[in-house]
Amino acid sequence: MPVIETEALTKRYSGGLRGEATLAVDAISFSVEPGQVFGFLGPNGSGKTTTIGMLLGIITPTGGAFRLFGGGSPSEIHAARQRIGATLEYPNFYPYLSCRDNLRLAARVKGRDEDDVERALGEVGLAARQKTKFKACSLGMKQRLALAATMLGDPELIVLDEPANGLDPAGQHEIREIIRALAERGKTIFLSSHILHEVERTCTHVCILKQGRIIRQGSVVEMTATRPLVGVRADRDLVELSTAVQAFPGTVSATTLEDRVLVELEGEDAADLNEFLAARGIYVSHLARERRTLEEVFMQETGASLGFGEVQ
Amino acid sequence: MSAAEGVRTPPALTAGVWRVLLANEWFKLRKRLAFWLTLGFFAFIMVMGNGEEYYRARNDPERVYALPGAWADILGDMTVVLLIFASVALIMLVSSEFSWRTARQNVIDGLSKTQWFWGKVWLLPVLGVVFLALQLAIGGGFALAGTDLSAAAGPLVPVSVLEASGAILLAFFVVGGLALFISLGVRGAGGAMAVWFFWIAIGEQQIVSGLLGRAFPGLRPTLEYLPWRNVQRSVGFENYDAPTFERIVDAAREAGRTIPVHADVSTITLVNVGWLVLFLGVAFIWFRRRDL
Repeated sequence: MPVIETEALTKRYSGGLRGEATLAVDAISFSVEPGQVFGFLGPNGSGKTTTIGMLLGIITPTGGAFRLFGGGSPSEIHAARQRIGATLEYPNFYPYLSCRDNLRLAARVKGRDEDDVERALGEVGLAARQKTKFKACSLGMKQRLALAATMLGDPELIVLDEPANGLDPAGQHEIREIIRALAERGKTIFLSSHILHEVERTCTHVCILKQGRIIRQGSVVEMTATRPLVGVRADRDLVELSTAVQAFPGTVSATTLEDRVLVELEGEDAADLNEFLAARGIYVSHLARERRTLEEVFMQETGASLGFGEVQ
Repeated sequence: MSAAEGVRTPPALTAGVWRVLLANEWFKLRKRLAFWLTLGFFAFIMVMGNGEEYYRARNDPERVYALPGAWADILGDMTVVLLIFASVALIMLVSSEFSWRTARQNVIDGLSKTQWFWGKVWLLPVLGVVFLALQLAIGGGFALAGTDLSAAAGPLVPVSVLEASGAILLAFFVVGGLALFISLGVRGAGGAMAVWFFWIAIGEQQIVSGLLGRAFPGLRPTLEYLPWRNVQRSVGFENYDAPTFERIVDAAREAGRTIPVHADVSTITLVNVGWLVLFLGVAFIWFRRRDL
């Protein structure tokens, strides 16, 4: 039984009296199985937060349906939400209350006691700073407090929306370690993040959204190991090299990266590519089999750019 | 859950849920500086008003400020101050839940939107009782200090005080219900306060009553039942205390003014209940339909 299952889930925002209606989420269907670490990816404005908001009950869908832990009626959904720990976008807490008091409020709602608050604070390393007011916390502490709140009640499903947003590398590493520990404990994790190498290292499955639609979904292994992939460098600039590579009949796609052109080939014909380029006076200095990263898949699927090259 | 079911989550308001809602709202309230500041200003005004009466009575043998007669002053005009300050506190407590996005987090944590809404409704009786208790304690304290207990005729706290206190609570539920409705709609403390003050100070008095009353003179008696007007009429201590009403009638007679007619308390109370149900009902439906 899937933990989350959506069927043509849709959210359309009416444009008010004069504005145009916006289709934020366009009939998306996906499912998350127990124990998966599910990455929910997409550029800004692709509908990730809106989708999560619908699953968490703060945004009302305008079409389609969803089920949580197999239940689809309002009462089943409400009951299922007691088995979910989640944060959305930013850590949202009462600024005038301490970390501990904020967790106490959430714990009461979830029917948990002081021991659970204690445990959650300890798990995210906030036990020593529990009396610090939320408004005085650093961003890292706020993110950790949000994680602690999601862990209250030992939920089966943990939904995290950009949990490492705004953190320095050390902070991101800490958050990743916590997520890994949760995954190792068998929790189902639904993770929305922009940090794709983090997602690739943490997630088992991903779903990529663009303009409210799912454009790709599957396991990370499937997505990153598609057709043969070679990285090419030559004695030419990358744009010229990319143009030449695209002229090769066996090329499926070519992505210009910072220091090389990444070529997706139809078959195992890297040697033919080398010969093809040499015949055109382009002498390859580097040609190596590569594994496609999730970042590259994401860029190719969404048409996004990292600013140093164009996706062909 | 399908889109059609999206706005019909079950209320699930069990006794346990009510307890959690009350405990959480009380916890947040007593830790909030803005609440204590509002209560402090209110207490200051009460001390100034009642203290002045007390000292004037002490220095002027002609004046009397003692129980039970002082209840007419304690629960008189100063009740409007209670209605305003308690509503301001309510607006600050509710609106900030949206600017801090804690309303959405509360729902994410497991409250349904229905439960969240009723948690805020809890604030009406809580704030009403706290502010009214302070008004009674400060006013009653000063008046008690000026009372010669050996010479007091009748009970120091007549039944009329309880009746008037009940009317004040209901009046606060109406203006507080309006404040809650506006807070849930505007979702910002400054804006909500501006809209609420505009309604009670200008909107109802000047625009609705003034314009409609002028255009349709036949409507004037009905316009007296608009929320703020009706609330103001409902909290007059003379409505509940016969000796106070008689004093007002005597004073009017001596001054040659029109003899006032005793207010129809049942109708006024019923209208207040109607406004309360309307404000909470519309606020509930509106809140449930909007995304957080």
